[in-house]
Amino acid sequence: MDDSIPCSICGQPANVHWTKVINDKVTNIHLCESCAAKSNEIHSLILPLAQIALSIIKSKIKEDEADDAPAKKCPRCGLTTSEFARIGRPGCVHCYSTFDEEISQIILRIQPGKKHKGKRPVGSTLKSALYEALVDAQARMNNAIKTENYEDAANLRDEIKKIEVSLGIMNDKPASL
Amino acid sequence: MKVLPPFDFSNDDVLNETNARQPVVLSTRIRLARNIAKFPFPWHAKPAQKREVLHLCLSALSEIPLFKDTRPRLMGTLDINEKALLVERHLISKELAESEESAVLISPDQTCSVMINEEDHLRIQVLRDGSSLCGAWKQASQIDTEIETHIEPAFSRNLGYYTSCPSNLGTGMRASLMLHLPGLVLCGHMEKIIRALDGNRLTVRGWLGEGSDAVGSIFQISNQHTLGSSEEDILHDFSAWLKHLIQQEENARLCLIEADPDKFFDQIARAISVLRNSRLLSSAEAMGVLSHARLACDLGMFPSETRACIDELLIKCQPTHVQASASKQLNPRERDTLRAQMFRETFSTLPLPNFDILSSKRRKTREKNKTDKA
Repeated sequence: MDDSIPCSICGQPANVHWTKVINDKVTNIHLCESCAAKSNEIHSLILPLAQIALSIIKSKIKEDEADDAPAKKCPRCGLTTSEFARIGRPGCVHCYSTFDEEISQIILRIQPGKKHKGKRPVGSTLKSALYEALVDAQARMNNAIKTENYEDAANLRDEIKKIEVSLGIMNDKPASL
Repeated sequence: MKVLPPFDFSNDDVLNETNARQPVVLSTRIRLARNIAKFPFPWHAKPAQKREVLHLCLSALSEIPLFKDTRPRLMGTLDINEKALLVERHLISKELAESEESAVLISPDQTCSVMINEEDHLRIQVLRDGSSLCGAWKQASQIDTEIETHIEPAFSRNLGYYTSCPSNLGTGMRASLMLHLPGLVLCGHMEKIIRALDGNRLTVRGWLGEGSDAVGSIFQISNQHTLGSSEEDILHDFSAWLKHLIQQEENARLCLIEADPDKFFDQIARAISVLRNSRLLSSAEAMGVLSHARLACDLGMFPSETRACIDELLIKCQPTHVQASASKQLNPRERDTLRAQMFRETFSTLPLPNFDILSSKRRKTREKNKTDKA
């Protein structure tokens, strides 16, 4: 367990901590002194979302490097983990499944909910079920690679390809494992 | 136009979907972000992919009745001034103006626009005068549904509409209100208000959005979150806060008048004098004095029709709009001269402010307060 929590903006050790309670949900914010001073200015009370995202991704990469986890690359748009960390945003819709873990953490920090409520496009039911199957297969494939279960990973890759064809987003480049 | 009595911001009047010029609320905007699954998001797409997206979107939009006879404005073909005019009118964002292979379609009445290849493939925007969260959302949603019959948006049951930035996931909806809060600014309460709004999932920005200053006591307030609540719920919470804010602003104005009426009316009188007589007027100063004139109008010192005229001047006093009214390229000082001239001409046709209307109103308010206390 690391004693010093990093600043949500710049990653320096944080020494200003505050907790907000929104609808019974607690959000902890950690900042270093200089970022905290800036965040008190009238127009920057809101932490810049992209910077929060960036700090999460950077700390995730550090964890992955420590775990010797392989760097990821989106099979659809080619965005790599390091590019994702530099820019702080996904390159395409498919990145949401490629960088599922990182994006889930970002969502947890910047959104109050995890599940969409509200308008749906007409005729979206089948497609969205397919998207979910795709996200699920992608996560299972990443897991299989982590545990060096390459046979399962190859099967899952084929499954992903099939779903992509059904969704009409089949990659013109071969999906890389 | 309905005449609102001074100090009477009765909630029903303000929250009614009147689409009219109102005290406090200048305008409403609803923006929806949508993307096409098979293309990378604009920031990551190659120029050829962006061109394909542009082509797809333009052909889909040409099928939609609202934009049928509208000529798309391609950012690549507009000059710097044309783009700046659209930014000052809030019809496009600064980001779109700087993007390549991007375009905007603007409805003939200039209340709806669809930006292509901004941060997301499609950004549908509806602008309304006054407070009209519900009405603007309904129209934006209708345009979205029409577009959807031609282009399928990337969507999942869990994450909702996929967006280029995770901060827009879910509904992809950003609702904004442009509010005029001179009372809260003069009382020095704005910082407290911003903190309270932030704790309640609302972001406060200046006149031209992110990073801009709150000149003329005008603030843009918008929802922070998009995932986990439906559009209606987000707008319902927003409306409740709007009611509360309007009340706070009304109280602040009352406090200012009660605390030091001479100082308060002196500020308004000086501002009007600048509007009627100045020879050099920068856009920041213009926004400041117009803010006082709008306040005077809310207090009943001008006929309520004047409000529309003031709101129009808030846009017309922006640098590119002043430039657009001239026949040659102006330097900043020449712009200040022209701006002052435009204000003098407009205000010479308006009646002088009626300071007497307030004394009777104030007496009534004091009496009402006494009865309330009793």
